[in-house]
Parts: sequence; C-alpha cells; structure tokens
Amino acid sequence: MELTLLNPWGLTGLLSVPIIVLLHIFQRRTKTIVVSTLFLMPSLKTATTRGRTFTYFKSSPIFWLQILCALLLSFLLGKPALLFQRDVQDVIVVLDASASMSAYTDASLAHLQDIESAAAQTQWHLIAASPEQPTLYQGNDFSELANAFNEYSFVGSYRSPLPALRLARQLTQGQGRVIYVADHPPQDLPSDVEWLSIGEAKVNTGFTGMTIEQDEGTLIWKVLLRNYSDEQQKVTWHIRAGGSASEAFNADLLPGAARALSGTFPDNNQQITLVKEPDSFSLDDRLPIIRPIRKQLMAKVFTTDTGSSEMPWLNRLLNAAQVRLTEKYDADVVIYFTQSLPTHNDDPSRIVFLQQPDKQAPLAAGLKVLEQNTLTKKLDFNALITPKVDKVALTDTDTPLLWKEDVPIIFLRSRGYHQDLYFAVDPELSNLTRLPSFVILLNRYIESIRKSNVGYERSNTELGSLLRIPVPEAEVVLRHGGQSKTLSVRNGFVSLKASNTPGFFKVQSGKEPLLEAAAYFSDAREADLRQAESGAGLISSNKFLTQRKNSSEIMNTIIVILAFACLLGSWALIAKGAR
Amino acid sequence: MSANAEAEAAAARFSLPLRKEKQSGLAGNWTGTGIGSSVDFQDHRPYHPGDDPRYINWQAYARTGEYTMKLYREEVSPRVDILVDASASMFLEPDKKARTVELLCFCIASSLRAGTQPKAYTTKNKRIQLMDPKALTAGHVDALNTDDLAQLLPVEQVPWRNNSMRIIISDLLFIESPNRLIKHCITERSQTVFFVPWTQQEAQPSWIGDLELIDCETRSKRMQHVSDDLRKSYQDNYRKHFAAWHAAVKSRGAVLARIPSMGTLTEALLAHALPAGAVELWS
Repeated sequence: MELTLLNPWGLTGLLSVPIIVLLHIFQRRTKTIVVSTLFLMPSLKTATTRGRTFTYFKSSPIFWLQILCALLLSFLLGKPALLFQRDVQDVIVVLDASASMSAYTDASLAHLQDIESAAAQTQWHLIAASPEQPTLYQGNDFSELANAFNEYSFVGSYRSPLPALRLARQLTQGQGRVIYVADHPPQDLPSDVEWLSIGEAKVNTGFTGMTIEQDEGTLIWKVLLRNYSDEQQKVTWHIRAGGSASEAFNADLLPGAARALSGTFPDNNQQITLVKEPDSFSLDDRLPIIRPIRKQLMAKVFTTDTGSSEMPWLNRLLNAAQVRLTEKYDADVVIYFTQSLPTHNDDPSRIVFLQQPDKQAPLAAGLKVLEQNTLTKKLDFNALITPKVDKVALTDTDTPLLWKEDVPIIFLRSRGYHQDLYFAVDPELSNLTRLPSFVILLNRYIESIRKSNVGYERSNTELGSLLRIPVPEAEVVLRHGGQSKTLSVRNGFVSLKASNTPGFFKVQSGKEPLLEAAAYFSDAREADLRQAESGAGLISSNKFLTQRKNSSEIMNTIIVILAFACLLGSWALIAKGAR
Repeated sequence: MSANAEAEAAAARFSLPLRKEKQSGLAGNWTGTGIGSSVDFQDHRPYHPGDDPRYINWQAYARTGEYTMKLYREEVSPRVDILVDASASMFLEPDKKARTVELLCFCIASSLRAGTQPKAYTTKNKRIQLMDPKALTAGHVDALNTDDLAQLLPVEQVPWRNNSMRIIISDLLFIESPNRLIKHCITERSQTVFFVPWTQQEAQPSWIGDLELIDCETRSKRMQHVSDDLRKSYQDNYRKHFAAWHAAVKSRGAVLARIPSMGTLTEALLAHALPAGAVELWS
C-alpha cells in the first residue's frame, strides 16, 4: 500500500502554518482590567507588554489546534489517496523496427523494468512497429523481454508506429500501458502512449546506393561510400571474392560526403562483397553484390497468312525485355497476330494482336477510356489512332483495359491459370506500337509472366525484402549462411524474406537453383545516427497504482472530521477565554 | 428602584439587631442597661435623702417602717454609628456601589424607624468625615463619593460613641490583617456589625489569558498571564481572606455578613444578613 498525493499543489496550504505562528508571536495588546483584589492574585509569569509586539513563542492548546487544523486541511487539499499495487498489469512495448535501432541493441532497458513496481505481476508484450510481425515476446520475465529485444533483427526502413500503437492500445483495453521504444524522441504520439528513447549520436560510415549498369556489354557495379558524421573520416575497405580479398583501399571522406565506387565482376566470380572496417552500425559495413541474371523467357510468334512476319518493333521490344524468340513449343509466351481469336488451350500465356482484314479501313476517332489496372497504371493511350474496330464480345472473366467508345480494344482474357493479353488493334493499321504506353504495358505483362514462371535468376535485393518465387511442386529449400530451411509451397509459390544480414542466399528445389541473391542494406536514412538521442516519456509508476475507492474515502472523511474537531476546539477555547 | 426605595423596603422587613443587646444612651424607647424611669421594675435600695419620693416603696415601708426606693429600668434611645468605607474598591463596580449605598440607607432607615440616633461617617482624603445629619435624616445619601486616597480604613479616627452599635460597611479588601480594624471598632460594651458587600466578578473572576491588572486604589499595575490554575489560586486566597475575617470578627463577638451585590437588598439581607445575625426581622 502506498500513500500518495494526487494534487501536490494542494500542499501550498502549508503556507498558512507560518502565518499562524506569526499571529501567535505578534500578539494583540493585552486586556487591561481594573481590579479591587490584586493583592489576592498570586504573582507568577507575567504577560507581554503593550501593543502587538514580538514575544517569545508561547505554546497553547489553541495554537496547536490551529496548526493541526491547517496541516490537516493542507493534506486534504493535496487529495491523498491510498494506492495499492494492481494484481496484474499489462505492458506492451512497441519497438521501432527500423534498421538504425540495430546500433543500440545493447542499450539498457532498465527504465522499463522500473514499471514492474506498479503491480504484483507484470505481463510484458514486445511487438515491433510493423503490425504484420508476430509478437516478439509475451510473458512476465523482463530479462526474457530484454533478450528478445537484443536478438531482434532491425533491418527495415522507418515506418509510422501509429498502427502498431493503435493495436497495442486495443489490446490493453485502456487498462495497461503502451510504451514506444525508439532511438530518438518520437513526435506526435497519442497522449496515452509513453516512450523511451535509447539512442545516442554515433559516427557511422558505410556502403549504400548499389546499382548495376551495362557498359558495352560489361556489367559495372556502382556503390556509394558515405560519411554520416560531422567530422572527416578515413575509411579503409576492400573487396572479397571467391574467398580472397583485394588490397585495402583508403578513402578520406569529408563530413556528410559520399564517394562513388565502381568496378566489374571478376571473370570467374559471380559474387563479390565490399567490406570496410566495422563500426557501431554494422549493416552497411558489408555490401554483397551478385552478378544479376534475369529469369529467361522465350516467346514464339504466330502470324496469319495475311500478316507480315517481319516486325522489327516486336524484336526490339522482346530484346529489351530479354525475351528470346524460339520456334519450340515450350515457349513461355506465344504471340499471335491473327484475324480470329485463338481457340486452343494448350498455350502458355498469350499476347494476341487481332488483325483487321480490311487494310484500307479509314481511321476513326473515338473517346478512349483506360481502366484501372496494375498493367495500365499511369499509362496514356489518348494518342492512339486506330480505324473502326470490330467489337469483341467480352466474357465474364475478361478484364478490359482500354475502351474506344464501347469497343474493348485492349483486354485480358482468363484461361485457366493464365491471363492472356489481347489487342483488338491491328498494329499495322494504327500507331499502337509507337506509343510509349504500349511498350510499358507489354513490358509489364511480360514481367508478370516472368514472375510467375519457374526459372533460375540472380538478383540483388534489400535486406528483409519480401520475395515471392514461383516454384515447382517439390521441396524448396532456402540456404543462407551455411544453414538450410525448408520453405512451404502455396499455390505454386514460396514467400520468404531476404536475409536480415548482408550476405548471399539461395533458394533451390532439389538440386535445381531457383534464386541466387545478395541481400544488402540500402536505406541511407537509417544509417545516419546523428539525430539519435536518449530520453524518456514514462509516467511515474505511482500514477498507475490502483486507488481503492473505499479506503481513500474513509481516510478523507476522517481527515475532515479531525480538522473540524480542531477548529471547534480552538473556537471553544477562544470563547472560553473571552468569557 | 432607587437606593432609598430599596432601603425602605428592606427596613420594612428587617431591622438592625438592636434588641439583642442591652442598650445605653439618651432617653428613648429601648430598655437601657441602667436605672431609669421606665415602668419595668428592676430592684430595691434604701432611701437616700434627695431621692425622688415618687419611687419610695410605701408597701415595703408599711411592712418594715423603713424607706425603700423602687428601681425601674432605664429607657434609652440607642446610638448607632455607621462607618462607610469610601475607598475606590467599594465603588469599582456599579452593582457594588449601589449595594453600598443601599446598605447605608438601610442602616439609616432602620435606625430611624427604631428611634435611634444614627451617625454616619465616611472617609475623605484619608480622613473620617461625618456625613450631613440632615441629609441622613431626609434619607439623601446619594451623594456618597469615592475617596480616591483611601486605602486603609482609618477606623482609629472614628469618634465612636460609647456603647453605640457600630455598623461598618466595607468590602474588607485590605491587604492588612483584621487586627487593627477590630481593635478600633469592637469593644466589650459595643455591638459591631460588619456589612461586607461583594460582587461575583471579584469572587469568581472570568479573567483568562494575558492581562494588565491595575489595582483600583493603589493604581499599581501588573502584567499577568492568568491561567485556570492561577484563577483557582486566586479564589483560594479570596476564600481564605474572608475566612480569616470571619474568624477574627467572631472571636470578638461581632457579626459579619457578606452581602452580595446581585439581586435586591431585601433578598440579600434575607439570605445572608439574617442568618448571620446582622439584621433582625422587624416587628
């Protein structure tokens, strides 16, 4: 049990105590009485002399009653409350899951542990600011919570914690406490959310901004080496490839400066790693790079007799999309140029260009309306000029993408697991192939096929990024850092996150590799630790102690009665003296 | 009711205790202690030449052949001497002053009713002063004034008449012992009555706290913190003071009656003077 004052400002009533003391010290003029029996009065202590003068303090029951009354009323104004520990309290700790927190995993959470004093038992919940992540810890052992915090992989970009905080507040149902832990004092938190900042400004240098370009058939990697501090830094780095390391390179970086590094892949190595000396933020001290290879797609082209088979625009487009033309039937996509709709179903994905028989058909104007679709996002076909197009009857499973008046001129048609792309526009009779939106649309469609096709690819991805890989119906294994993990296949895909630490990982089905990737840190905002600082916005645990209503009311009633008793006693004594 | 009216009302019921003792004085209606010409036979003695032949006991001569004189009680008019203490303490409180005047008026009125010859003395400038007999006879005693200088009653200056009834109206609030006053007031052949007016405030004062006490007669000041204990001590001293006076007066055969200033004079005399023998019922 604990006695506390809910309104400490009420104790300003204690200022009345010195006033009472002064009133008793500076006493009134003594009463003068003419008597006839003075000789019968024993001569003892004398009273004060004339006037309201200073005299040594003289204790009297009236004085002490008045002092006691002032003390009791001041105490009452302070709103005393008897507080008891709750039996159980829920505390939900929401972590800022951004990568910058990785520099502070060894920070002390002692401030949080003080919260345990507010209840006999504390039920801790540790969640990340990303609501989709599972609970990191749930239990009543604070040391386990601290371990879970230390072991958590902070890799992502900063995300607003508000959704996670809302969820946390719903979980507490207004009874528990929600505490947001970050590396800098947060802004604009809800008023009932507390916070703890465990960061401190640190010097950091690291790799960022990796790109791979092709220069005359040679892949060039480019990386920035950046100084995230306010002082000049000297950075030493080297390249590791195939188990060997290059010579060390030095770079002097001015405050806030970045230096571009570039190079090629060794002939016998598809993987390299840029390594610098470690510092407080380790995620950007290593940058693995893998020579990328896109998943191979093959396309087969069918044309009608009436059409020309020479389509340079198609060759350029397929070449840019890295789609290889083939005559084999195991193409990934079949491109039709036909006057009638294909009817067989054994094709993989289709791109169909419906040709018009009348090659002399005049061009016709018409309002064009673009449907909202991922393939048509931010595209513009207003410049498309076509002759009058025969209307194609859409089925229930078709998805129109572009209308000309009431005629669907670009649409998707579902066919089993495939969605075929149809153009009811003859490329020869229109300017379709010259529109940038057409090229983008076609590339998007081809990429959607690439993504859904099982095949081998190599890519560079950011730490912790979500990957969805089409796989055959077989066991799929993720290999990373010498460890293997079987992935679950769902609807022909596996979903996984890229590793949380810079490095290489592989997804394979049996012995067939499906993906080889390099995961690297790329968010420069998280690497800048200059703004980190410590602080706390925690409410005193006393505020969360439960007030047992009856106990406080009884106590306050007793105080009131005692105060009144003191007042009445003081008045009675004064009146008695006056008489 | 004015003091005279109160006194007359009290004198109608009570009288001074003149019947208790054998009186002496000029010719009057009271039986004196000597031989006089009243009808009350007292004694015989042989005839001496020059005796009044009206008092010869002829029956005794017839029996004895010798001249014998009859002796009758003396009928006298008693003398009443009244001394009024005019010190400041007697007039400190209006009630006490009024009671003092009433007592004086009562004594005068009672004396006159009884056919006595009252004389009243008061003090002025520490000296005894006879009060105006005409005013006393007319009952005009309202002009009794405070003698600011009087602190001790100068009883030795009072020309007491021989064998007079001596009435002393005083609050007896003297620091001195009773001996001096008793010595000069009380004799074997005189009857002395003390009427002692008092007030509730002096008997049971309500003083409390820090006070400046000024003596009404000496004007001396004392800063006194009066507590309940001190007040109790004062009341004890007050009680002892008057107990000593009672004992001293009683031991000399005099009468002392403490007359409260509260209530009417008649009530006060009935309750306090009559039981003490300071007054008698008038008949």
